[in-house]
Order: sequence, then structure tokens, then C-alpha cells
Amino acid sequence: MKNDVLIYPYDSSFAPILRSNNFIDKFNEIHLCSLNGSGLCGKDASIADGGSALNLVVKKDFDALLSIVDTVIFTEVDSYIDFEWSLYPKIKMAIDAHKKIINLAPLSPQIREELRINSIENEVLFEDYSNNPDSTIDEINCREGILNINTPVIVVMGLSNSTGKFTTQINIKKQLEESGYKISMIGSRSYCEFLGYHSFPNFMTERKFDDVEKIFLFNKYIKNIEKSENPDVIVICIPGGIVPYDNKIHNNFGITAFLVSQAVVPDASVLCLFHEDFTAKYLELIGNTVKYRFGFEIDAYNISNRQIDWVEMVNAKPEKVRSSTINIKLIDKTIEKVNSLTTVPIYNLLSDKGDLTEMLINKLSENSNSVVF
Amino acid sequence: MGKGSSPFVHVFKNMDKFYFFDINQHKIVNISEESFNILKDHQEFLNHELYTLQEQGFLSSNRVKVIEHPATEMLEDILSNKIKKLNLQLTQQCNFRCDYCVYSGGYDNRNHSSKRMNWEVAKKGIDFLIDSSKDSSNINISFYGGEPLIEFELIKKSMEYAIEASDGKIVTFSMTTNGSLLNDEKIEFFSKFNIHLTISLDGPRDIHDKNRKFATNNCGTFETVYNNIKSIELKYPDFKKNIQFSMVIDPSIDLNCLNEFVADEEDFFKETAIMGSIISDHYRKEKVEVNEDFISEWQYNKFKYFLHLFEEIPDKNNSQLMRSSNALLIDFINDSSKSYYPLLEKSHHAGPCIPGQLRLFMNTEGDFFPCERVNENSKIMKIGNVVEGLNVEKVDKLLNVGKITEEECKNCFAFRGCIVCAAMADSGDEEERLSKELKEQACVNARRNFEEMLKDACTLKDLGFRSDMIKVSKNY
Ligand code: SF4
Ligand code: SF4
Repeated sequence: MKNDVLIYPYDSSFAPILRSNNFIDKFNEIHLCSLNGSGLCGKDASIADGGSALNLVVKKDFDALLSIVDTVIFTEVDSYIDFEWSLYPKIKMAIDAHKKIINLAPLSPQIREELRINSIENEVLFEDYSNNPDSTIDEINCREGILNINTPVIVVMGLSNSTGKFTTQINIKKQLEESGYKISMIGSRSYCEFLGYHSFPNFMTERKFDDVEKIFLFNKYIKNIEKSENPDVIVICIPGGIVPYDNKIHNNFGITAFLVSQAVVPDASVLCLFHEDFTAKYLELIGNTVKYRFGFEIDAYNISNRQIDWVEMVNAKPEKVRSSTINIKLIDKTIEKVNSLTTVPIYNLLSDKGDLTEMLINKLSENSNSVVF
Repeated sequence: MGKGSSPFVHVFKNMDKFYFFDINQHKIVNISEESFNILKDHQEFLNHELYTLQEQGFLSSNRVKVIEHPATEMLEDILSNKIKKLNLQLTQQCNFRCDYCVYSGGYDNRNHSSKRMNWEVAKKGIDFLIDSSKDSSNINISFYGGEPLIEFELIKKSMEYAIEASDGKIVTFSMTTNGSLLNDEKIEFFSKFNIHLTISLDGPRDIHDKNRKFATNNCGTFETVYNNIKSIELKYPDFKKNIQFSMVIDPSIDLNCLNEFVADEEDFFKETAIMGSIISDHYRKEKVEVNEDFISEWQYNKFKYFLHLFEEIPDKNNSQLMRSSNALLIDFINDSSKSYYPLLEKSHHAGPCIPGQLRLFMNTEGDFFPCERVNENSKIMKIGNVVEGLNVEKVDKLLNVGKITEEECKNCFAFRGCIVCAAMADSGDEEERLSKELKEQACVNARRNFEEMLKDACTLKDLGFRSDMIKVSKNY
């Protein structure tokens, strides 16, 4: 029997999951609860990401909702959250109320342990996806060299954080599967196992390996997935951004993207961008950056329905890129304009214009015509 | 050469040198007198120097073709999702009667009255802010008057409610106050929150008391305000950093007196910023009187400020007031090595905020205005109310104030450094239109100030100033 589930605290971070059938089909009734200051309460859940209506109203009364569900999913949020005040007591409350807990929110090791013990004592199921499982990998064998990946690989990257990579990967996976392909995906978030695919492997951020080792490890990791899962297509989503935003917001200088690009040669690539008033020169610059930095061409752009808040970036000099939601009509207009500026096709996954996955399938079949062993 | 096809640059002389400012590149270039004359006379011929500069990307004739603010098409999104601040006019009452105050009868925009905000209106305002800010992780609630501290109970209730209702956001508070009603009870309450106070203090007793008097007895207010702040310094030293001073400078006074006061009261002004502004002429019935020496003193103080930048004179002897008035110059120097995209086909001059987003002002009755500085009686400035929300069409009109001087703006060298906004084109009349005439008057000032800033930058460069010296001089 399917459970009734409560998602807390709901915001734009969870919206892409809510749009995936895989998730919706798992549950009977879905209830959403936001922090009361989120600006989402009392509105349709689609307000969070600016996409089409989801027909689920976001509520703010956690206690009342808790009493009518069997399962609570605690999520990470895009917005600010006071863990001590808004999350921790609610998880405790859900454990005390004997609800099944699924946790996607980042937890410190001590809190994780405390909650785990607490759930055992209360005989509550506590599924914790916040701690990315260690990927089992053989010893690094650099002498083996880079192994060829024979399965077509699609890479999804973002110019910066919050450019809609997560929405893009979920959509690509869903649509490729609907077209009959068997997909192995490495997602950009730490709790992708919850959604049925791999999280980006931990070893890529561990200090114990140097960059060269990480390249070999990642190559081997993908090879292992190819061998064990035998997919038709491998989709790799690279966390973070590919270039620094400025001297302060460094996006890890695009190092992760560089390491992945040396480990695996993609057959198709998608770059996610913020919405803006694009010019031909700007798009050419981005195309060249990817080409000369990572060694491949961009096959498609996906523009998110967020635009950088330049005024805030200049005035407040925040720690991360701040952006605002844009309406779909404006995005459609931009797509039309950009199509005349570049030969690289451009999409927005929340609007109906164009079909990114179809384009990717065509691209992969182009490659499959060549006689490669 | 026609205006539209000639290089989009502004030529000027500074000391004995010649320059142009390239609007597309947002850069100043030092040139020879010959090149200067060629550009000044709009000659078609380019000499070797100018030809080389053109090869390097300077001297483009590219101009904006359509005046439209880049936020225009996102206006509805921004006003529904990204409001950042609400400034609540809690009361129109004040215990002071300041000669220059907009409420004291010398201006067209307001008068003191007994109007006060009730809790329902304040609550609706806070709810409106939260509801319209899903994309803002930080919001600010501000208290304004009259004198807001007259409504301390309402302030308390509003702050407590705002914190409770805005889980998931960082809420900060601010208040503009005359400081006379500050006492231990209030500071103890404020200490629990992230609040910043801007206290109006115009200088030493003589200067302050000239304009700022108690309403009841017409006596000066300096002593009360000064003692209150001294008491905070003593009893709540940690709170002192939450205070900044606003100094309204009356140009009929002796500026040196003011500077000496700030320099002598080193402890008093320690850790606090001083925001200086000259009494505003805008919306004012009578012109502001300017003391003859004031201008030369102002220039002298600016000179001292430059010396301070070079660390030639200590912090103490530098006019703090000059810091805020030279902030744009410092930004220009800081950004001078950045590369700028050429002007876009569709663009708008700098200056206007997105009305309603950054400084939304709500009066006692719940009517919305772009900020606290605009005329509350002006129909065009009333951009909505707390029940019906913001009127996007009206906001659009104020945002796109450039449209009323479209041709001038397309050819104006101050385009990217402009400070003109709709408030400066508001005659405050019943008609719902912005005044081109008023705006053009503001343009004269804006262009003069911008050119002055460019010249200051050239002077500093000539004297060997480097951008890394800004970081060395703390608190520029
Ligand atoms: S003065 Fe003009 S630009 Fe400044 S906040 Fe008010 S309306 Fe906006
Ligand atoms: S100074 Fe006047 S003409 Fe020049 S850009 Fe500003 S508003 Fe336009």
C-alpha cells in the first residue's frame, strides 16, 4: 500500500523531484509544508520553480499535516534555514509521532547518529540519504591508463550553481526512459540514491586523492557502472559551476568539471545557463571556454527560469549567486531570440518549446553511425 | 559626422591634460591635444593615435537604440517574488520641528499630522513583504515617521511578529530616528534583534540646534540626543556599532565647524558611519541658501580627503563626510580595470531603482510609494496599496523614466553613471505624468557631477594613486 507523505520544508530545491513521475507514483497523497516565511504558503507548489501548475497547495502547519501522513521527507532547501530552530525539532517530532522518516537534508555526523539511535528506540524507520554512500572502487591503477567508455555518455553541466542542472538531469532521464533507453545516471546532488540513481561520488572531493588520481578513479567508476549496469546511455551531471562567477564566488574554479572532462569523453553535452539578455558574442565566449577548457563542444544550452540579480550582486556582494524567477513567456521570447544568435540549440525544460531529449537522441545516433570498436 | 555615427565619447580637459571618456568601454583615455580637437570638432579624419585606439576597440559609435529598462519584462516577477524591504511610516507625528524637514511645512510633499498606522495595516504590510519575497533570502523591515519611536509599542509588536512569521528568511530591521526618545528599555529590546539605527545629528550644538528644535518649546535638541547616545555608549557598548549618523548639511553654515566637531568627538563617532547629505532643494518651496564660503570649504575638504587617501594625513583630520560623497569615485577607480560590454541595443540609464523592490515605503494608511523620499501627495508616485498590491503599470512608468528624455539619454555620456530617477522628475502635481522639464534640470546636475568625478579620477591617477591603495586606507 502506498503511503501518504509530507515534504518539509518544501521549496524550489524539491520542485524538480515533484515534477518527476517516478516520485509521484511512489506515494498516495503528497502534502507540502514550507517555512512560514518562504513566500510559498497558500500558493500552488509550482510558484517555487516558476513552472506549470502542480495542483498542490503549499501549507505551513507542520503539526496538523504530520498527524495525517505516514511518512515525512525532510529535504535540503535553496533558501536560508535555521537548523536548530526549523528542522531539528521537526525531525524529532516526526520520530516521536512514529512516522517513517526519509532524510535528504544535510546533517552533521553527531546529529545523524543521535537521530538514528532515537529512531531505533522509537521503532521508527529512518532512511537517511544525506550521506552519500562511499563508492566502492578498486585500487587506483594509473598504469592502466584511461579506459574507453563504449556506452554513449551525456554530460550535463552548469555555468554556475542554481542554473537548473537538477531539473535538466531529471528530465533527461525521464524522457530517455520513456523512449525506451536504459539509463545509468550519476546525479549532481548527494541524495540521488533516493531517486534511484547514483550520487556524485565522494572521492571526487576527498583530499586523500590528488587530481590525477581523481581522474583515473572517475574513469574507473564510470567503467564499473558500464560493466555492471550495462546501460544504453550514461548521463553524468557535474555539480557546481564550470567557471568562477567572480573573485569571491569561485565555483571551485570549474575543477570538478575539468576532472570529469579528462576522465570521460562525452558524446553529447548540455550546458545550463541563467536566463539573461544574451548576445552572440557572449554565447561564443561560453562555447569557446568549454571547448578549450574541457575539450568538447556544447550540443545544447538549457536556460533556467532564473536570472542573476545584478543589483544585489553588486550592492550586497553575497556569498553565492542570487537570482530571481522569470516568467515562462519571457523565456520563450528569449529562446526565439537566441536561436538567431547561435547554431547551438537552446531549450527550457519548464516550457514546452523544443525537445532537448529528442535532440540528444539524434546526436547520439549520429555518433553511432561511425564505425568505432 | 552625424551625432549618431560619431564616436560615442565625451572629451574633457583636466589640469593641463586632454582626455576622452568612452561610454561603451566605460573608460577614460588620456590623449593628445590634437586628438582632443579632432574629437571635439567631430572631424571625420582620425590621426594615428585615434586610429590605434579605434583598433583597440575604443571610439565605437555604438549607441542605445531603444530606451527600456532591462527589468521591464520581469517586473511582474520581481514585484511578486523579490521585494527586499518595507519601510513603514508608523506615524506622521514628531516631537521635533526641524526647519528643513519635509513634514515641517517647507516642502510640498508632506506635513506633520496626527495620522498613525494601526496594527492591522502594519501586519498586512509585513505579510505583503513576506508573500512577495520568495526569491529574497534576506528582507529588511524599516521604521520611519514622523518620529517612529513615538510608536514604540507598535514597533515591538511588528518586530516580534515579523520574526515569528518569516521562518526561512534572514530578517533585519532598521529605523530612522531623531534619537531623543531612546532610553534603556528601548535599547534593551532592540539589542535582541538585528537592528540598525540611523540617528539624525547635524553637528555641534550650534549647528544642530539651528534647524532641529523641540516642537513643544522651540528649544534646541542637541543635548538630549547627544546624551542619549553617550548613555548607550556607556551602558550598551556592543550596541553602538548598530548606530549610524545622518548629517543633514545646511549650506549656510561653516563646514569647518562641522568637521572639527566630528574630528574632536573621535570616541563618539568611533565605529559608526556618517552619512552626509545637503538639505534637499527638491519639492522645496523656497531655494536653499548657500553660504559663499561653503563651496570653497567643501573643495578644501575634498582636497583633504584625497590627501587622506594617500595616507598623507591621518584619519582623524579627514572629513568623514567626504567619504559618502566620494563613494562613486572610489567605485569607479575600483572598477576601472574591468572590461565592460558595449551598450546593449535596448537599455536604460543608471539611476532608477526598481520602484517597490528595494525601498518600498508604506504610509500610515497603507499606500505604497517607491521610497520614503518621494512626494506622498503625488499621484504618480503612489504605486499601490497594501490591500490591492503593487500596480505594475505605474511601476513600469517610473522605472522607465528614461523614456521622457529618450533622445538626450541615447547620446548622454553619463548614461552608465547617471543618478537620475523618477523622483527627480516628479512635480508632485495632481496630473499623473512625469515632468520632462524637472528631469532636464536634474540631468544638468547629474552630468556635471559625473564629469567632476571623471576629472577627480584623472587627478588622482596623475598623482600616482592606485586602486590597491583603497584597501590600505580602511573605511575609505
Ligand atoms: S530616490 Fe529614486 S532611485 Fe532612490 S530609492 Fe527613491 S525612487 Fe528609488
Ligand atoms: S543625465 Fe539625463 S540625459 Fe543623461 S543619462 Fe541621465 S537622465 Fe539621461
